[in-house]
Amino acid sequence: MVAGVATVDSITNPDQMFADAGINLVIARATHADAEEKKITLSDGRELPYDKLLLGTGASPVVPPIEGCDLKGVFSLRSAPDAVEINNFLEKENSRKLVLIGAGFINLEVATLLASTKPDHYDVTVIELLSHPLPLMLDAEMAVQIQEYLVEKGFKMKMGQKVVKVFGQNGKVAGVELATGEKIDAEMVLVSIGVKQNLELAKDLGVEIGKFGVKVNKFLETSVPDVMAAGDCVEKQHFVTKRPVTGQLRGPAVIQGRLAAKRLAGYDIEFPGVMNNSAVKLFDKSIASVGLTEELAHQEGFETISTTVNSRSKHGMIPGVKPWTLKLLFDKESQKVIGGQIISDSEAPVKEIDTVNALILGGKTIAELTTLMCAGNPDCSSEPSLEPVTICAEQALQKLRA
Amino acid sequence: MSAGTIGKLLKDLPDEDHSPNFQREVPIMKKGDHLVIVGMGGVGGPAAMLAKRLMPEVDVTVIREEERFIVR
Repeated sequence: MVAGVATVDSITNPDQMFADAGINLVIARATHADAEEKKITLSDGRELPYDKLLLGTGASPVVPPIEGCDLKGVFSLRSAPDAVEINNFLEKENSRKLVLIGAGFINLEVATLLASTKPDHYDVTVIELLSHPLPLMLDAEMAVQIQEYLVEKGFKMKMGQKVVKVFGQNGKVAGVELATGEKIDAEMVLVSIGVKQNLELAKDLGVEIGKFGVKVNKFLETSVPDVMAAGDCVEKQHFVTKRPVTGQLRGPAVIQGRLAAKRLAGYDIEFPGVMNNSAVKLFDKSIASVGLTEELAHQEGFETISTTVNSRSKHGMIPGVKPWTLKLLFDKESQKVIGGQIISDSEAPVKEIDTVNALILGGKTIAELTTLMCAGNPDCSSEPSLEPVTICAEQALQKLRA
Repeated sequence: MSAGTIGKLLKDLPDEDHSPNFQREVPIMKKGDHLVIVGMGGVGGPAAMLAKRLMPEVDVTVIREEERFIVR
């Protein structure tokens, strides 16, 4: 939508879908929640009683405490109206010089889509406080491939740099200043450095709140009876480390929403924890990640073994064959797989991250991965001898002996 | 020694559960009960649709602030 390649109608569900299902849809702001009287107050003054309440209040973009972030032309992106507003601004102002603060997948996807729709129009600079792009998805040696690729595409990648000021002219953004003193001209700035949970209603209700959001048990029930919570507003547990994390991605939100419905219908199914499964497409590169990165694993105290294997999307003799790379990460003590990263020149192999996801969930070890047998076909996969999960595991086996 | 046997000899991943232990009975919503869902991003829409399918006799209401809403 930001790049004008999709409309609001094309990516949102029509409200009629809910009416057809017999669901009451109320478009208003929920301004207050009362756990004793079990009712929600709306912005139009109405009150809605509940027997069971599910909070899915989400999260809002974090705007850094940097001077100038309130200037016209400085945006963050979360909802469809944000995307429309940015698209309208770019069209009206004919902006060329774009600065993106944060090199996570939202900013990079927006930048690459804009650059794809108007080749040679935009001058794109990406600024990231950490040392490499996609820091939550990729380790440095994988991310550097993406960084070099984006530089080849004309992006200026300023990694390990801090923005200290956004400056303007006549109330409109004109550029950003880095901690080094360097100034970069900008006609539009997109800030995407993370989100914070929306907790106003949770606080009204008096539910227990942790460092990363509303505390819920494995059935998504809060500390207050008859109040459940799910999605970006709740604190989750990492499947591997068992530590509290934010886990603010659409996948866990959808699964938690559906799990809450099942719980209310009497099913006894636990939420297993999150693994930050994520995928992004940047120009012709598809990237995916699951579990821990090696950097995060070390911070969490794991001693790791990692292996990286290059494979291909089809058998070598098939026209259109494209390369892809898989990195697997193992915990040295348990020998279990705890993370995976993929960079691919075509779209299909990137979904192999779901195989890695299942292997982590299943607690599979290096030895067990050496006998993984995958479906193979000349048009759809590498040759079985190049199947990278098993080769990664075999290399890890050798590293264990070394 | 089989892979499975080797696995049993290894120290396992952390298994300490840090999630809160809020004790609850498995809820069963009854005919005419009101389920109110606040928010219609990743959680609200899927939760409402499945809740209505699993419990057609329950009154399901979703509150959404935005005219339209989508998150990634």
